[in-house]
Amino acid sequence: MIFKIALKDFLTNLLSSRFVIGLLLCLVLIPFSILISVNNYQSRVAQYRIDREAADKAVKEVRVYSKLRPEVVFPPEPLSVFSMGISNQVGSHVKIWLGDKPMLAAGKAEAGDNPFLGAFFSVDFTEITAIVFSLLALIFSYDVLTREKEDGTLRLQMSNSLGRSTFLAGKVLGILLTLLPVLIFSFLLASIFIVFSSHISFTASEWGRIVLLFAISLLYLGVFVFIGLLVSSHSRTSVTSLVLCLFLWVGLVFLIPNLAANFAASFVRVQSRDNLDRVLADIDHELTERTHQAYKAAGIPESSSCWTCMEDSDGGFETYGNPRPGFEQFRRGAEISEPLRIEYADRRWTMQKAYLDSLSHQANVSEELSLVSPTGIFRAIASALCTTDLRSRENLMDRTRQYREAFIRYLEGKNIFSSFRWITPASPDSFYPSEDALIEKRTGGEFKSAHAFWTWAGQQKDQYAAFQKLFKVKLPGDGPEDFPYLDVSDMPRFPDRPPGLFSGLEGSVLNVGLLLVEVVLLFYLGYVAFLGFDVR
Amino acid sequence: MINQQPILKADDLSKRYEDGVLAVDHLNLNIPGGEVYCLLGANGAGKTTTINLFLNFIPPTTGTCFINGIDVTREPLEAKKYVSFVSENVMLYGNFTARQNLDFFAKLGGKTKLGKEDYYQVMRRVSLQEKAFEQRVKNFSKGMRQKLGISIAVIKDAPGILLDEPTSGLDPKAAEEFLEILDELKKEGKAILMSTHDIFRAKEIGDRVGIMKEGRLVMERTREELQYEDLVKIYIDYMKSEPLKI
Amino acid sequence: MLKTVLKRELLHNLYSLRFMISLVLLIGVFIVGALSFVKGYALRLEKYHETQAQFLEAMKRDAADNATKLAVLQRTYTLRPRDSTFIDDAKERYLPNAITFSAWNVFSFQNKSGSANPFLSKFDELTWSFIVALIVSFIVLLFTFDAVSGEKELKTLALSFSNSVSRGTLLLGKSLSAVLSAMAIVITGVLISLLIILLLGGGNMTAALAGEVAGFLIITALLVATFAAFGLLSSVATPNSNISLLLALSFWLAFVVIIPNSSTFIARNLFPIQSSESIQKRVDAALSDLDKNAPPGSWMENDSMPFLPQHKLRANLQMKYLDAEKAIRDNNYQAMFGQFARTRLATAVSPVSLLEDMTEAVVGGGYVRFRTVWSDMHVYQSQFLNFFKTVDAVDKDSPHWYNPNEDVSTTRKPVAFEQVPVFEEKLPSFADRFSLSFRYLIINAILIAFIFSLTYLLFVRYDVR
Repeated sequence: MIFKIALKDFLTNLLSSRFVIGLLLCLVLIPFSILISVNNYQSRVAQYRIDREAADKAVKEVRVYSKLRPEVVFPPEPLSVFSMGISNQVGSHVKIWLGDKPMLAAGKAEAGDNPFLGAFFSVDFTEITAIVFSLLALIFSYDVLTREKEDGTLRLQMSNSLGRSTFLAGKVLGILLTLLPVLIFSFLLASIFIVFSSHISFTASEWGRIVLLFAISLLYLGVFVFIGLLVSSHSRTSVTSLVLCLFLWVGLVFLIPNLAANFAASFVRVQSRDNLDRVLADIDHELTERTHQAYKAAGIPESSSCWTCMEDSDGGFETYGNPRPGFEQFRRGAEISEPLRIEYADRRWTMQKAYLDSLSHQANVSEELSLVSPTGIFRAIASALCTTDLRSRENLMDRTRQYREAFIRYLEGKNIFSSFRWITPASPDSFYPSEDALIEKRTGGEFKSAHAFWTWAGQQKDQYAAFQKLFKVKLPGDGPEDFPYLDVSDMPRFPDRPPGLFSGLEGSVLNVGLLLVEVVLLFYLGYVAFLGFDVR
Repeated sequence: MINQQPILKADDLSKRYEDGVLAVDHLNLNIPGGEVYCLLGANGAGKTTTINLFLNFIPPTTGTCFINGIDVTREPLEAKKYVSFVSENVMLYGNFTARQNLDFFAKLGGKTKLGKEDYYQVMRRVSLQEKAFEQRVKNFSKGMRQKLGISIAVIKDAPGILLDEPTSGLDPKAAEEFLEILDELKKEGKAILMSTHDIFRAKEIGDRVGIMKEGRLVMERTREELQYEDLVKIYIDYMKSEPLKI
Repeated sequence: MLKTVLKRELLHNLYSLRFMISLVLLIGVFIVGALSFVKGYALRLEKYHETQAQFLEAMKRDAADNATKLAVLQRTYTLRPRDSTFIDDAKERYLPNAITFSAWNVFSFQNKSGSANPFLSKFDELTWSFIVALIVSFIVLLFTFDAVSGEKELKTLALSFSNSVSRGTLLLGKSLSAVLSAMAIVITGVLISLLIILLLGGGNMTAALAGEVAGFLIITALLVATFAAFGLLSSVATPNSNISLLLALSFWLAFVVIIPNSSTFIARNLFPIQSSESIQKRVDAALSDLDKNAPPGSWMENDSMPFLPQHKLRANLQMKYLDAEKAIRDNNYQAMFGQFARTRLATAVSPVSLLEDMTEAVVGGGYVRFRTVWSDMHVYQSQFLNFFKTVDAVDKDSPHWYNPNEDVSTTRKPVAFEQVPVFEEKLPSFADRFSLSFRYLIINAILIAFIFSLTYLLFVRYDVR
């Protein structure tokens, strides 16, 4: 009996205009959303290739360990074509510094090459399906009881020995049977588009996640079917039911997620980035002070001079053509400053973590508030499935920080801060014993000591020409071009670990449970209401 | 006193729909003031189409409808000033009261200066209960809605009245009351065209009765003629007979 | 006749469930939006004053130190939060709002949000314009989708047309009533919102604000009229109010969800610009070219000898660097502006995008404001530069070899801060705002006229039985 009713409804629906229009809507909107997502993904992949190449090149083309800073480049998540989550807003590459733990990734935002495009929003597959499926579910369920009552057929059916539960089960099954092909069609369409797009391919576990997404969509659809049922069971006419359902639709799908975000943004404070930067600058200042004191204690002079030196941030220092004492001074300096730098990274991290936590807190509050609406739950689960949610990003950044530890251990294993290799590729055997010796060699013997040269040069009118004397003889090892690149084949690399089918989904279990509870509760309420429904 | 000038006139009226069906076949009607003309026929015989043609809801294929001498196709707005319409199963505006519905349609029909008492009077005349005057129509029974529909026609006070199955679904008492009002309106000199299945009422109220079959007016009798013939028998005979050859 | 029809339609709306729910919903959302604005506004203003104070402090410090430092150091000016953000925030949260400049050049712009959260998905703020774009548009469609097809089902349409009322009159009555009913709800919400904001200290009523509110209401009326037209079109295009609804909803989805959200795609694919990497490459190439062709000695520097002859070469080179990079980047900025503006025009087919564009112009915010500030900044920069050159000219210890990037060969004397020109940000003038919104107004008017004509044509043929 249940199945007879369901089949009757299914066939009626199949021929109805709402089914045709619904299918048409999916036919237009699903490819549209996939097109946009795929387009976005492809440009991110292109950017990834550029960034990766640049990162690899940067690591290869160093001559001293002091300049070696690997850069982790995250590939775009393939499943982001289904749900973009926050993947467009957080960066994609992280440089490993000694003095700073990775906090936030850098990279081009979605705006990409034009900051103005940041004002434009985008929709992905998940958002479109959240909108369209909920609408379709309501369009088919808002009059599930009222229509038959108005047509007089409800009375007719109830005049037979038909239990209310049986009838209701049949009606509900009929709606689900009608909507299931639409859902399947949409996912198939999306999958086909993706399969035929270049640069995208999914692993088996990613396909598995798509299947899970499909299951969740079905659950989501069910929630709205039962909302329609509940409203229909409490309405006198189909028009009333329709109006109520439509307002509920706009409220649940559009308003509540927006209100949640607005509330979180207005009422949950995040720490100010400017404040953080100021505090970090203070810590840097303290580090500089401490380093200077340590230099003093070790008897290292404040000032230095070098023939060629290239200084970078984070203590990157590359130097050539110095006399031995000069090199020694730099080496001893690094021996002190670099471990301190690493130590202070932890102090900075305390502040940074507090800042990050405040950001996460606000984002989490926003998501939790949006769980009031089934659409919010659906989006949360979808982005978790597609590894584009906050938790996945936090895991990724954790791994990046662990990699930094591995890199530092690698350096420490070589005892590199105490080595000349930290600052120069030149072999210590090739160092000149003194500046005098160097000047003599450079000027081709014209000046025998540094003092002699500088005294003479100070008296010259044309300073520039005076300087040129120092370039009379080019010594080997005077500049970087005389040395090969560093061999970094033993440097640890960032491990690419694609997630398994169920990894990272622990947080979503609760959300799925919430959807299930809603489905059951709404159905129960609708059922109870129908028991008292006036069928005349 | 029967006025000789026909208020409702159909002149060789035909209507063929796009799908080929000939709904009205060379119909001629002449209804003067003070006459009730009942159009009988099975479902699909063309009665409702005839009324729709009079109201210019669809254009005729050939022929013309005249209301008060005005061609409804050429000057529809002018013509409609002279006719009222009572449709079958009209739902009216559920959120409005009976009086509000009446007020709206009265104004639409050109009667802009009427007051509450005038509306009450008309509604009393059609035997609508007093307490229903200020009640929302969505709670009305079918009979009450039909009465309200008739009061809408009465208040317009137009010389011609078109009714489409007005007594369908009414209980005998309500139907009787309805016919009494029609009789009064006829005596006021109105020309009334009423389509119906109801043979008995048609015989009672109709000054003339016409039977439509497959779009054609196959028989017409006056009241006097009907006294001597059994309308029921005639009607059923016609219905039973062979389909007309087109 | 029109009056009768209009009166009935308005009364009908007033009694209907949808009107009640709309009124309650809209008022609720306006209230929440107003409260949310008041909460955030004080904070934002405070933050801005802090940032601005630091900005001026830095200028003061540099002025008291060394005029060249004052002129050469790059500073970032942050745009002031607008007072009428509650009407429309014009996506200012996500647009560039800081400009980096020195006396020598206006370098770049960026979005500098001290409290932005990259973990929070982009969202619309609960401004009047958002409420209208999302909810009022929906409500208007709900009022009109069964205006005709619903009456047909009630059989009152036939009854109405059995009287001498023309199709045009009935249609006009329905359109007007939908617009009036919706505007009544909007104006109620707007007034309540305004009351809350003014009472809770979110701003003051000035003539400018009143003008912006009036402008906003006019634009809203246009949007309401447009959606009423589409709703009525759906109603007459189909015989059944269920189908009318789906058609109306499809319009709504297209205009409110699809078209506005396809902007990024349109921008990237229809109006592409050069990538920032290729711009950087061009800049690097130009600079290294200059390096190659620079006369020897151009890199020599001696801090204690301003009059070192090589400093003149150095200054020339730096000036060439500046000009070369500026040419490439300014060109790129024009391309960015063009890409953005053209994309906006392309999406103007949606009434919601039209509303956003017009509201942005009326409140003088968003992109319109940025462009105004950007060009005003250029004017200021040349004033600033002239000031510096004047100060430099009177210093006998300065070689006057203008070096835009470094403190090497120009005056090192301090200068009184009171004399230093400081940038004053101005909002776009009302004349500018009007002329900008005019174009969109015309497009909207044409759209309304077109849809209504189509609706009328269909309604004349509509089967009322």
